[in-house]
Amino acid sequence: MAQEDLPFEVIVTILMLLPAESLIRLMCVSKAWYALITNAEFIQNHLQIMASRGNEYILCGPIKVFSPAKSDLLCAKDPNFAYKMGVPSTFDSRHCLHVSSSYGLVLMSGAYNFGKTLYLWNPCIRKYKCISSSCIDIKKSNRLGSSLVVGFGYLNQANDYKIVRIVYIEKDDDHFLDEDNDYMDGDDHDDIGGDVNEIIEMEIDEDISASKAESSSNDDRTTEVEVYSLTRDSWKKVEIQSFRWFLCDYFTRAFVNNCVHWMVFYRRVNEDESMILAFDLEKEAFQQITVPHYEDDVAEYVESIVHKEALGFVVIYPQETTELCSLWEMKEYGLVESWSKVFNVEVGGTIYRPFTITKNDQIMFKGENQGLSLYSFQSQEIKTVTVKLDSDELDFLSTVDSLILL
Amino acid sequence: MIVLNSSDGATFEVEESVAVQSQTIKHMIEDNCADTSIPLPNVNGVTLARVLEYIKKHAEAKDDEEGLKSFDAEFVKVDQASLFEIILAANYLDIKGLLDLTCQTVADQIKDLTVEEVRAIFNIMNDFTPEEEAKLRNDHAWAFE
Repeated sequence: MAQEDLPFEVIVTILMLLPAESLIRLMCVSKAWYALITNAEFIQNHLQIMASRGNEYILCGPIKVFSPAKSDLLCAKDPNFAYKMGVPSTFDSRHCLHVSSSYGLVLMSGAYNFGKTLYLWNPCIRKYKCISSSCIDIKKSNRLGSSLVVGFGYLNQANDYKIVRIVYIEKDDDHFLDEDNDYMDGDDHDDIGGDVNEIIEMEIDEDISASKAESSSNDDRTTEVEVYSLTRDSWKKVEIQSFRWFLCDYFTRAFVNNCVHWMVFYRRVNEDESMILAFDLEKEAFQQITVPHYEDDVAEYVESIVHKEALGFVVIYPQETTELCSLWEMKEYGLVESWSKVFNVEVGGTIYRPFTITKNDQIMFKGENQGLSLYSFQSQEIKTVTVKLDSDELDFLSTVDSLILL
Repeated sequence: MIVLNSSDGATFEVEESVAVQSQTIKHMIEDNCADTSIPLPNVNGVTLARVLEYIKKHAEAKDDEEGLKSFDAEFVKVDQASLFEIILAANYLDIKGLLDLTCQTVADQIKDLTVEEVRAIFNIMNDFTPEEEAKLRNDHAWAFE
């Protein structure tokens, strides 16, 4: 008896279980299949299924500006398997940084003039969209000492991807010519980088870290904030009363509860208070979150991350031959009392920055000899992943398999 | 006990509590169409037997996750024609678990196949002109390497 044809609705069910790469090929099967695979609803449903099954890839890319812009795409469930992929040559700068990823899309920006031109990229289907416009006079940020900070996330209810951009615009160029830093009021600061542990060293624009520790009066600069929506494909300015925080990072990957989170410090008279600054992409408003208590004089590194869909806070304390890694989770978002310590583990050896904490409770970082190391919280062992990676210093970003931007 | 009649005249008895894993059968029972037996003109005897094997196992070993996993893995080791028959039956009888399992199996089988191989499996006519198809392949050349 001849094989019966499957009804189209069943074929749809089957296709929704395929990885994006296969679907790109199968668009050629017939016009009906092409129409289906490029249909917006199909793409949404497919993405939902991929996300719920944890079908992710981990993008490993170079963080040093002068490396060739090549990335490896690893299958998260089996990191021994990798694809090599180049960043599209038509990107503005050959040296692109992976900023952040959310629900199938990766935000990238040129390493030079960071934040000026942004790209939304889907590495699974190798398609990107360039976002160069702005509604703030970005030319003002051309001057030395201005800087751009970005955050990115997907809003489930609105079904929209949004980018927030904070632009610090220095009013007066002369501040940067002043070697003695007379304009600073901080008497308890010998060295900006040393005192504020949270500042991450970026290879680009080192002058920026000096400008960030200026007087809290904000007389010297204005802060402007704008939000981009992929659905509208346009930017919109956000009205803010006063911006009292100093951001330590150029970008953030901690997106949870519709908010992006940065480590910041708030300049007080006697000391700086470090905290997490959250920006709600839906409400388009800022809020402060107090961090759990930790020994900030001995901590080497702190970061706000997302751990198992909750806001997390990581602190790394260097010990003699090991590193102590503490991870807190905010069990109830926004409730400071709900910070609870999830891990307090001693890792033999050094956890090289940057690292990522995967969904399987593993810390993934660049190990010795071009390999990748995985430290598992459960087994408390470091394993080496055998895939060979090109770059010297790696950055990791996980992204869900999807057809978005097709 | 419920009595089911396949398209080719075979009869099967199954407990009602097991049979209602099929939403179609469940609705028929609720609508009182099931007094003597339920005719299933879309499913042949061989396939119906296999489907019943699935729902019986999933009813009795409900909590044994490991056991069910290995049962499912063995269950789908059949030739393609039979697999498609089971899919059609699961779709008609509206048995979600079985449909998910068989669809995932087919997805795994086709994910690395060429376009021509997939057309053959699903018996689909290529309605693109050679130029149209060439353009599509060119636009996404990386996927065809």
